[in-house]
Amino acid sequence: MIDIKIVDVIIEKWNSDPDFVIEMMQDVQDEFRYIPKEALERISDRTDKPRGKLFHIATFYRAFSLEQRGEKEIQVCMGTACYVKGAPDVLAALERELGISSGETTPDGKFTLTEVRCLGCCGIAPVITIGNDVIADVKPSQVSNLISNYCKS
Amino acid sequence: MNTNAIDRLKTLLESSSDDTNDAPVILTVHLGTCGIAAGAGKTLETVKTTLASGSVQPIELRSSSCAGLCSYEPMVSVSRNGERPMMYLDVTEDKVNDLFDCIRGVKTAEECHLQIITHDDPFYLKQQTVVFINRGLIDPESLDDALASGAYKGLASILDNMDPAEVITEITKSGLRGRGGGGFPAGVKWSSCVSAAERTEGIPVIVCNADEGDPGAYMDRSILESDPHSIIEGMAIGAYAIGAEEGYIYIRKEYPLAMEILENAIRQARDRNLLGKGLLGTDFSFDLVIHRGAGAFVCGESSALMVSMSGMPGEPRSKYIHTVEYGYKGRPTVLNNVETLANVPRIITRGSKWFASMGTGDVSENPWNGSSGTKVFSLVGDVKNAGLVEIPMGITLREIIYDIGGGIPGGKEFKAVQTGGPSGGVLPADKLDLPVDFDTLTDAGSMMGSGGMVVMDNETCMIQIAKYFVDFLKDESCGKCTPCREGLVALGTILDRIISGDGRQGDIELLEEYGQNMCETSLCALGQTAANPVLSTIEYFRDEYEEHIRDGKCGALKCKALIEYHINAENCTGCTICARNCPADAIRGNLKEPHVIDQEKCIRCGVCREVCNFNAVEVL
Amino acid sequence: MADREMITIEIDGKSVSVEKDTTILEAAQSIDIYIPALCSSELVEPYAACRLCIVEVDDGRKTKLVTSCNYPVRRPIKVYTSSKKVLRNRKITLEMMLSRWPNVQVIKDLAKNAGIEKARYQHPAVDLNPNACILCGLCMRICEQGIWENIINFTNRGAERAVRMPYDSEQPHCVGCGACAEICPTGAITMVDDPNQPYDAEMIRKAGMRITKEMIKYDEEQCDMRGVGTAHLVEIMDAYDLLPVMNYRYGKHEETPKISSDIFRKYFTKGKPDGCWLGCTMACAKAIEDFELKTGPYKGEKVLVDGPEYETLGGSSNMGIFDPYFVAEYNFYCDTYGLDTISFSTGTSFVMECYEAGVLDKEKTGGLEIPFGAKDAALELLHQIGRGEGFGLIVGKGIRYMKKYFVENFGADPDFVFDIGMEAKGMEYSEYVTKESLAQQGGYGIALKGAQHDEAWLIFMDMVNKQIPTFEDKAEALHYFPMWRTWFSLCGLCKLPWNDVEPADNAETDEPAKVPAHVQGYCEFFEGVTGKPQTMDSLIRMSEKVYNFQRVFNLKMGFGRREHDVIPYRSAGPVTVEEYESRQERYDTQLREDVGIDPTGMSSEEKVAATRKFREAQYEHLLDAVYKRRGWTNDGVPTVAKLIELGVDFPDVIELVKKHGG
Repeated sequence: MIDIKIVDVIIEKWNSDPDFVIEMMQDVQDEFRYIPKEALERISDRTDKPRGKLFHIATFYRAFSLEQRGEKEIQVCMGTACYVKGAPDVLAALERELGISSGETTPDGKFTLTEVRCLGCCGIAPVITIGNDVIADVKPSQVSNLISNYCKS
Repeated sequence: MNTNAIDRLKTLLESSSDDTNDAPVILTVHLGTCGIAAGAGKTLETVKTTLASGSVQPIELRSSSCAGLCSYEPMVSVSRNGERPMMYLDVTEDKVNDLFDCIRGVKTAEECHLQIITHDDPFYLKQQTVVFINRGLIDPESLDDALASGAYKGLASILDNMDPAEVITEITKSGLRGRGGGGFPAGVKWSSCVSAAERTEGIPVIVCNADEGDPGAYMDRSILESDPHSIIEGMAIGAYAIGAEEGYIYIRKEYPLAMEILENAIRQARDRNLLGKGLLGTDFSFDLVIHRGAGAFVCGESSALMVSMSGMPGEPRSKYIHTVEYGYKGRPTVLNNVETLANVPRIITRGSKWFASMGTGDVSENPWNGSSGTKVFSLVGDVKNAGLVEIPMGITLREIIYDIGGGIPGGKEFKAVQTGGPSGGVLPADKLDLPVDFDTLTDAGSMMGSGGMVVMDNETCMIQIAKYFVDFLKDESCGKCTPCREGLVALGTILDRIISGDGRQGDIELLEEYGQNMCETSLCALGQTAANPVLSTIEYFRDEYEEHIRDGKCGALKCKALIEYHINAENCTGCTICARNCPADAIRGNLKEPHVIDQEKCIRCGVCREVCNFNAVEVL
Repeated sequence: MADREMITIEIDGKSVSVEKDTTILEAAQSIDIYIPALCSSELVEPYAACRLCIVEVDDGRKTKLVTSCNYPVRRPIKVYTSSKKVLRNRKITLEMMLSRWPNVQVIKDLAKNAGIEKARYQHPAVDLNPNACILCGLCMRICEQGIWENIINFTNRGAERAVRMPYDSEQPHCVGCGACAEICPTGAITMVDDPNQPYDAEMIRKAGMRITKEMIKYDEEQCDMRGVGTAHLVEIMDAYDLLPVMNYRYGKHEETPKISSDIFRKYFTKGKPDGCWLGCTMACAKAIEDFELKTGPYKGEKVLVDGPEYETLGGSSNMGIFDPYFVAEYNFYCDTYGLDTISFSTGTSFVMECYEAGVLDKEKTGGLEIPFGAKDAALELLHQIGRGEGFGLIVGKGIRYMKKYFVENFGADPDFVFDIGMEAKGMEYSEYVTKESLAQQGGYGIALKGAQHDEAWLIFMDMVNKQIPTFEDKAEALHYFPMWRTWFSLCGLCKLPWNDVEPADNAETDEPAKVPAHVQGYCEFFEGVTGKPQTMDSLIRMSEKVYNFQRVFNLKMGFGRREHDVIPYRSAGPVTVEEYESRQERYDTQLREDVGIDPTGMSSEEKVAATRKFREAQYEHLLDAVYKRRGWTNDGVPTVAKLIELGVDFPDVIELVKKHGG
């Protein structure tokens, strides 16, 4: 069970305005690292947006997930520049290192590995983000060290 | 007509806090997203600590946005006695001491291994800054900085001296065309919105598309991060011209810094009566609302963007009735992209003639007649100087890639340049002398798009590139219409079999047939252009497709099913680094003896080749 | 409304003239040109997703491919539905569909027509199910646009797009209306029948679906029940001089627009189904949200007002009050106090007329000044009734009680209060003026439970459409309709879907007032539940048994004879000179033509009396005819023969009716 009061605060922040359900859901995602059913139903009740619409939104936009994401999200930029500069190999290295596929969360709940379409840092490609940190010019061989540094911190 | 906006603006400017001191040296740390990613934040902290220690001469420390040369971040500009700044490249925190040594003249830059670039460098020399005129120079978080650089002068002057129709005429005459991809003349769009509003008795709105979605393009982020007030001013001018009082900015959530800077700028503008009720004391009111995208490329499409703004999944609709007539919530809507809007205040202050004098064609009578002004490109990929470059329309791809970009690094050859993002295409070496403007690139089978320019060297496989875009779009398609949803699956399936060596005779024709169908029958522009990367690679690199299908070979040595990694025994020193790094445990060999790769175990990840210091790993 | 602009276009060489903004597909269908279209339906907005309906359009400047289902005709164009380009592209689109759904019949058929049997690539997620979902979106659109729900929707995007329920769980909002299953072209959605195990669920669903389709297609242009509920009747009744104004004296008022449905449309909660029960596609129960109360115990609070419906609005005009805020307020408090808005408003109208006529004064009302239009006093009276104190204690007991009380305690003229006190069998009249419809006077007067239109509503048949001119016709109607309406009560069904939406061709049937197609639907409904086949007559027969039994029950309780079927004269004709003179021309004409008296030179009092004499006699004739038709004695008592015929001849029933001459 989630603390529904947190959801209410989020809904209030956006004045229960149905135009801002996507923003509300982003805040819910940030808070719980997924979109809990209870939260979606609460938003539906308070904004009069049907659940079906909200569920479509929750599965349409990549910002949302129905499964809880890890404590830290690792995003591998798959923009064209990053791709050309070897992002697929970086992704493969991360998959090997974490033992999960893209889109999955490590069993200990620490990391979720996702691909992102472009972070707009094409000049320093390939780029990944770990949590809020943007890391430039990543090589597959560096991945192991990077992850262990974050595990320590 | 009002007659006091200019005076009001002057008063605002005079009341600005004047905190400039007369320090002989001004040091600016560039804090764009890329810079921060490369460590600029830490650099700034170290600079602050050093300054606080009092061990250096009086220096004024400023922060500003990206200076455009992203591949050399973090960058620090140093200006002495009001001269044009020198830019120090790659100033990571450990180099701050060296930097101060240079500033003090204790050491030369060379001695500290610090690279310097000035505005006379070819990277900057061929550029012409209009929208980026303030980049790296002003603090984007300071309205005073913006005002001092002339922000809101354009708005004040139209409020005092022009009626809305005159503003539209001025923009139309400048030839300004949409920088988001479509290249539709902004003035024509504004004027059709005005007539649609009259016809339908709707109240118009203006929307800024900051959902910069094309992978490989990031100029809009940079504009928002470096000069947010230019967007606010551009939107206010547009709103005045079309009779709107509401504006919306749809910005993607992947740009947290841009969003923060923009929100701050909007707050400042509101506080100083540059947004809100009765702007600058006139009876024109205008305010802005920000909507955050949530990760969907298709929301860059106008009708999808507008439904997404109402809290809906971003599914496009047919636009037999255009969004200028039936847009956001059914109202007449002007949608302009960030770069387009950033040009607007410049055109107003410097005049349509000045703007039209840049670029190609004579646009004074008809904006479709050419491409005026400048365009920002994100010059990235396999190029030495990667970054954002603003150039006058009409210079050639070669000038951009070789003169500004410095050519291909690592002694490799140019193979292709991808422009226009997933809707665009790839152009081969023999197109390098094409002038860059809206119409030429489209005629060549690509497009200018929003300005992504990804350079690819000869180690790039064109079928992989085509597959990359197909996969990208397969995931980003909304899935509403059959040709886009199923066509991308069809293209992907066929490309997959080509890449894995199972291509069949006739596959190329099949790709063309399906691609053509997608162009002709998809619902929105995403689907209609989704096959472009496939079709343009087939057009210019048909041989490569045939080689894959006929010979089972990948000339670029990228298709994993068609290549093998081998260790050249002559070069191998037996250092074991490859074996230690191999994630598949596929490399055997004793210390100081040549190693061997077990092809059964090898997953072709390429780590061995990356870590080898003796170029002993070869791809066959 | 101005005529829509017509545009002539050419489709495959044939000319057709259509209204501006008609779609090409509609235009083609109107001249029998077939264009394949999988995601299109007349029940929902075009979606343009399947892309099979592409056609080539030549607009004089260039030729382009467009989807015909949503391309609006705005200028003269030439359309080619089977050009080379169209056929080539349609074929490829079908190939893509076939690759993914090779066993879906509708796709197989279309593909075969286009000349494809097998796709040239193997779809990585091929779905061999013959009932696979083909993502046409009809289900989610009918749920959203037709049912105003959003239970079923798309999820995900791109190749992963699928139709699912939120979190793949059962949705409490879904009532199983079946519209999605009905519209699905592949049978991908199946209904799971409820545990009541009706005899033939499919038969019930089909009957229900016909109503649903009519609602989706016609409601907005017919009654707009989903938009404004029964409130739409206000302006209609006013237009026909049937809206009760000032205790039924008049039938219209210049201020009616202030309480018309257009006003309430703005206040009603929009875009949401609001039925008495979930799943009703008529969903006419409207509500006003966040209404701030100005009086009473909840003063200052924002509340939800459940309504107003027509009767509540008609009740307001009856009190001479034309103020939407008043309507919402009295609606809320009647609901809150457990009062019926009809009884309250008709009762208060009576009080107001008595006050104006001097029967009541401030002293007698305990300080209330309450002429027509006194909205504050009306609300105060309402609160007094709610609290059970003061004058409210008298009014709250109803008109029958008040009449007696006013005569006994205030010296009121018994004739006057009996003429204007609008009740029958102790029940207050509902909000229709019946003066000009003899049949409806009978509808109120003979109704078993009192003056309620829910047994028979014959005004339009009688006076507007003039379908029942003779006494026999009226008697037949007063037989059929009360029985028919009783049948709904027997089955626990709402009557509104029977005739507040009608099939497009209803007017062309023999008996449009009965809505024969819907009667047939109810026969199927009954059969679907019970397994017993029915006809219109057999349904009526069911009611007749109960109806006669009820009449006998009334008799037992002292309400079942002719003397109890009397009505106040206000419901049959003008009581006062003032009332007569307000419609003088009409009444004079009737005197001349129907009664055979030349009104020239007569005083108004004389004319009122002559009219009254005639109309009261007419009513008695009507009773004669109705009793006869129903198989009752002339005193209104069911005959033994009738009871035997109906099989309700229980010994104590027979004994009772015999005692009363039956």
